[in-house]
Amino acid sequence: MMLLNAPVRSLRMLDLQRRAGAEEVFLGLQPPPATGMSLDSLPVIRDGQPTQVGSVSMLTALIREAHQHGMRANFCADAPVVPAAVLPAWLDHVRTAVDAGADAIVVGSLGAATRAGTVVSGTTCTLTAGSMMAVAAPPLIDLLTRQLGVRRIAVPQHLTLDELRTVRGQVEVELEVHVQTGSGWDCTRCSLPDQPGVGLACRAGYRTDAGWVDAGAGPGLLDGGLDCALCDLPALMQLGVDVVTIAGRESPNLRQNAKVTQIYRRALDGLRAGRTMPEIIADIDRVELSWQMAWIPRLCDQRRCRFRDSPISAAFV
Amino acid sequence: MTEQAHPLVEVRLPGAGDIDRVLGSGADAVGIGHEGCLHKARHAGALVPFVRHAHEAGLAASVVVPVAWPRSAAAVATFAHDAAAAGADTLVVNDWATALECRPYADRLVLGRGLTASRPLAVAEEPTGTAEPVHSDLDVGIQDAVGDGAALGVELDAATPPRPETLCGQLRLVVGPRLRALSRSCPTLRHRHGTAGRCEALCTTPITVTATSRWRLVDGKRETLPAGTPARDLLVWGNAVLDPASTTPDRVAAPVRVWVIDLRYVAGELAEEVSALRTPMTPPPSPTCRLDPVSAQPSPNPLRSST
Repeated sequence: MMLLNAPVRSLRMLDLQRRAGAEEVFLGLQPPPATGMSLDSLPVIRDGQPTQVGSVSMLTALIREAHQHGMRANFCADAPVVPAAVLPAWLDHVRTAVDAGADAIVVGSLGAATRAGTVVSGTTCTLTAGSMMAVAAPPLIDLLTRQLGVRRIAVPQHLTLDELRTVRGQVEVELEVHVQTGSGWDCTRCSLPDQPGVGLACRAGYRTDAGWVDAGAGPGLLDGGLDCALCDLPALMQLGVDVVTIAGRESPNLRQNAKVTQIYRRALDGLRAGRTMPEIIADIDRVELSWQMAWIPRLCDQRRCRFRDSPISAAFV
Repeated sequence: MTEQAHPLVEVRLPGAGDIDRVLGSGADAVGIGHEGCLHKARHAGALVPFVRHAHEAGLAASVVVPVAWPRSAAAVATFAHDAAAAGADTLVVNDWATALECRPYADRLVLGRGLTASRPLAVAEEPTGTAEPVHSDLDVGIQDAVGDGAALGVELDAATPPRPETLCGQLRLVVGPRLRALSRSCPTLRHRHGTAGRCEALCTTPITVTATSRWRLVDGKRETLPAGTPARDLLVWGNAVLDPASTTPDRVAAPVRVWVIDLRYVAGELAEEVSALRTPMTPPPSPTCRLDPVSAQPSPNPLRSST
């Protein structure tokens, strides 16, 4: 059965996501100030929004609340780089989450993956290789699952369905697919956001030296974002994907973020009841104002289909 | 390459047929390949003659093996083995899966910018002012691999060398524009309406881009950048974005074993640039990264563990 994993950073967000139908949540924790870096895959602040839980007591409360409702709590410690000087703080960070009851630790670098086992050893907490690790090739899959004890792999955002099928055929491990905010870029290696004032630079608009200018609402010159996987949920289910993760720990609109979860919930429940995606989408269109107002113009009209042919996927190297 | 009074200089070539442009420049080595795209390094048939030509000219030969994107992972692995079989003196790999494939070649394996360009995310959303990182923070996994001898060294942008205390193994610094990002969905292909695999000609010249609008997370729309936003020019070259404003610092605290010049960015006389980089080097410090800093036990080495 494919599960829904949703972002959380507060009790209100947890409540909204639970009511929307999430079965798992993922969350991060603000690093100690002296650390000087985020200990997961998002900056502490993005677009003016916090991305992490503000305190250990809140983290503990959120995990307890999630467990009371039968939800699994995935703790993000998936910094793409863990320097040696920060390693003790990173290990303490992970220990804090394990002590708070986290069910899984998401790691983002190979150095972290080799160390995290010592913290979760002897507990019920498991390891997930986060999408920051960009795991898709057999040697790395083999190393992570057979030697480092990784139980779940979150595949990179630029994987096609065929490639996902290949990964599924290579390894008996839980597979997680991130949806709703994709990227044709390799986020692990990206320092584009370091441009002050430009924000998420892969989605910014650009002009070229030849006078060409990004215009309209569609993907810009550097925008490789493939976001929506709704129409391909049947294919993901058939492939044996275990978890679909809705992006948005940084979401500025908690209700809107939960609405996305709710729409995926409707789709999964509909599929399990034997309905087709066109029937399910017609149902959603009847009852969800946001479908016509936001989803179609922001995703369908821009062909931001995670697994369908598009100008973005046609340019995959 | 073990005892030397000055750093070596390697010239990275646009293609395997460009060796003659380097002869007489004083360079010690030549290299081919690209961190992000196999299409730009599709020289499998040319690897043997490239290495032979380099060696006959008295030059060492390096091959940059690109990131193994899912579709090309098998081809990248084959390319790496072909480069090793051809006798390449250095293999620069850019992802862990390929590094694992290349374990038999540890004595000539370098972890390239595809691995070392990863950087921690800030506690703030973005740096204020024009502050730029002056050092690269290497993941402990990289230190483990190099510290244990499973790889020869690391290659980074000269603009952001590693902190000296974190260095072990051979340090190679690439002069010129700093690598900002690599994309699987190639922006050059999209902009120039090309077809993947038949696109080498599209990459002969870069595209200079400058941000004009920012993306709003709240509604997914773009808004014009406020006046005065210091958006910088970026170079889009193939599926890579580079920062042409990045500069090599006057002094690099860490001992540089090899300087790498990319011939595409050389505007003046190559021989002068080679000569300028050949300043005497200080002896490398004893490696400090061989022990796990937490437990003081030998650190786990993923590249060594299953050999």
